[in-house]
Amino acid sequence: MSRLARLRQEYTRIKQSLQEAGQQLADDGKVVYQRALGERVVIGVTGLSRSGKSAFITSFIQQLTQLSSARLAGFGAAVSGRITAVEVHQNDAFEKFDFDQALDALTAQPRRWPDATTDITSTELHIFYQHVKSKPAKRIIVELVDYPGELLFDLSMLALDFSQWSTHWLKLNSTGEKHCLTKNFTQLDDDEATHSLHHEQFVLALKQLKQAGYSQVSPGHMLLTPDAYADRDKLFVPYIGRSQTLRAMYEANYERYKAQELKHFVTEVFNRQDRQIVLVDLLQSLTKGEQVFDDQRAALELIVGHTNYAKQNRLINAIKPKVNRVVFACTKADQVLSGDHDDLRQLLFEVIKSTYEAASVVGVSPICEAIAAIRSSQEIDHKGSAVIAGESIDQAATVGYANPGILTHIPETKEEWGAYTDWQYRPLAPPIVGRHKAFPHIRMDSVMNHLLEDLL
Amino acid sequence: MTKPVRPAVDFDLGDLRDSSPIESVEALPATVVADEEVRSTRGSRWVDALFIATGLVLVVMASAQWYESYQWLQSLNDWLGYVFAGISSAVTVGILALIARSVRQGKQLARAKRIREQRFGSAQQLSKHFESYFSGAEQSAVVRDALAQLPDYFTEDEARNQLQQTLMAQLDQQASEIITRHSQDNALMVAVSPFIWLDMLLSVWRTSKMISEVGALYGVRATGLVRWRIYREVLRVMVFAGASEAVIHQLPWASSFLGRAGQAVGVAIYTARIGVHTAKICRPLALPAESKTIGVSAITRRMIPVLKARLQIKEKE
Repeated sequence: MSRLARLRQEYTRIKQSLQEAGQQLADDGKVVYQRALGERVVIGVTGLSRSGKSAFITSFIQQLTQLSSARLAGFGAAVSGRITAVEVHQNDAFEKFDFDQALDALTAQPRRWPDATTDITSTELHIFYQHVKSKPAKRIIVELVDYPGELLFDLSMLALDFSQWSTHWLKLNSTGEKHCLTKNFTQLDDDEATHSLHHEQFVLALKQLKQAGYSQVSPGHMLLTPDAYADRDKLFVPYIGRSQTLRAMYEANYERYKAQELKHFVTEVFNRQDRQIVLVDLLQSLTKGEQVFDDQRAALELIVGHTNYAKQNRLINAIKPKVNRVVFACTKADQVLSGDHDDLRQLLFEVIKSTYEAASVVGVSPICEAIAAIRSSQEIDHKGSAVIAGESIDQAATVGYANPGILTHIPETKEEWGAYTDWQYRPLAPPIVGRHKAFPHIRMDSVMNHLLEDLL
Repeated sequence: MTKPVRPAVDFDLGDLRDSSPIESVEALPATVVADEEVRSTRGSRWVDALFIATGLVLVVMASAQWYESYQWLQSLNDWLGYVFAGISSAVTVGILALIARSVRQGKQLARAKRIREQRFGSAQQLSKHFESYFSGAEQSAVVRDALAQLPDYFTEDEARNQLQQTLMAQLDQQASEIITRHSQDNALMVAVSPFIWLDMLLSVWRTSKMISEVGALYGVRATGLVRWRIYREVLRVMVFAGASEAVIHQLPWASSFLGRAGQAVGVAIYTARIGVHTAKICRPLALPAESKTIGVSAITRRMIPVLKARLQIKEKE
């Protein structure tokens, strides 16, 4: 190749990268501009795995796109008819939230709940509305960002070096049921252990912890895509053994994971949100007992502890976003009698009390709600008793029950825990709803109102 | 010792014919509720007893007086006695009917107070009371629609909040228009009338009409005793609360008007105050402190420019 040709090639390459950088800068600038004007808002859908994030996003989109059939009495902009149209768009910066697939699952035969989130996804909702104070129709872009709950607990790694993390991990899983679930990994003979055996046993331990309902299961990426971390240049496990080679290898990989994947998650996703909904499945953890409940509580505290809450000027928020509105929502409220919803809210408040207070101090007024993004039950009066009625998850039978009363404090005694652990908590099938109808729900309107009412 | 947790119960729902959505739970007997309310709102038992005893004495005295008159008339002529008996019976029946109607309406006012102040424990029970309260009223269809919009999972607080934002906001808007209209008209009538006694008559007539319309809007037919009660309440508020904030705000402007114009503005503000208070005591849900629709200041603000323009025109004329 001649020198001239090489120069031309180099010129083309530089020109292309400059164009790309320019385009990126323009896109970023546009987003900052939109955020500064209040024309774009990023809502982070946060929650531990299985807390109902996918169902929440699906319902959120469906309620807004099927406004005519949605019952959103508590969402002022919808009730007053100010929202004129809603369009779903793809956010090019992230993977697409597969709304159609979720809708397919919910409306197929047999009906199923949407698949769990395994990747960071995003959806843009373009809401066209008539503002109360201005005549011409306006548009606001609501960016819904969804990320696997498994990643959230990894945030704790940011403050720990490898040996601190290893000690912390091993200590966390050294007692009770957790010890039993992880002992195959933790008791591996140091002399015989190889990285592949470590990988195999570590992934198995993580899976077992997850299966048992624990939330503090880290590293999340390794749980989501275990095979991707099998290689020597990616694998790390908590290690305090004698082998310097293994320790050096794991430490390097740990630091790389933190610097690349975790940092990317924090800067591009977690710290980009300016509104947040934290979904918590309290019922499931109550039924699994004290250890799982406490674990969930600790995990939640840790996650929300990493969130920056602040009430700040819109322009500053556009440049350096902080969460200025937050809803803590206890999901699957359709599985308890409506008379217990207030108690469920109160219990949730008890669980997230410190975070709630911290957010309140900086001027963010959080709310606690008991919600069901997609309501799968009905409350009926059966021979004088209030009963939750729904279809079993296999859609083979009608299920009827009254849940144990919900305490407004965290259970303390064995008897109190017994009421929940003895309860056969049965997941219900999604309701029968057509593709072009809004899903029945519990208090989605209240959540939408709190997250969006000041903008519409 | 902590209260035991209500245990979980499984139900066999094979026969769903025995089940019904929870909203259809039986209503509380509304009539019993109303009787309790009247008792609870009337104050001390001793005062009640004193009223009843005085009433009985008056009835006995009037009966004796009536009987004497009847006998005297009959002694003059049998037919004179019969005619007297007929006319006095008709008058008595009329008075009793009036009293009964006032008591019924009084109960409605007491029911409004009860719904406002008492907790019923669930949104369903609140809905039942609400529906029963507005039954037969002009707004009953609107109320039924608003209640039908309440989701079955709502707690009582949520239901109250929702009704405030939908149904009551709608009624407040109408009430505000009624109050503004009557207050303006009252002021203009006072401004043009040349006699003090005519001012007073016109004011009383107009204000009385406003009270009826506002009361009816919130489900209370305000006539006779009820209207008197409202006046009494208003007077009490006026005495205890002192000069209203709105009056203070408007005084410098009002004082710049000469003679009748100033008086007219004062009458308008006073009428608005009575209207707002009528709305407050007839409303089955407490008026939110932050309400911008029903409030003397808000109504005055809307009213003043109109009055100013019209009174200036009249002055020029």
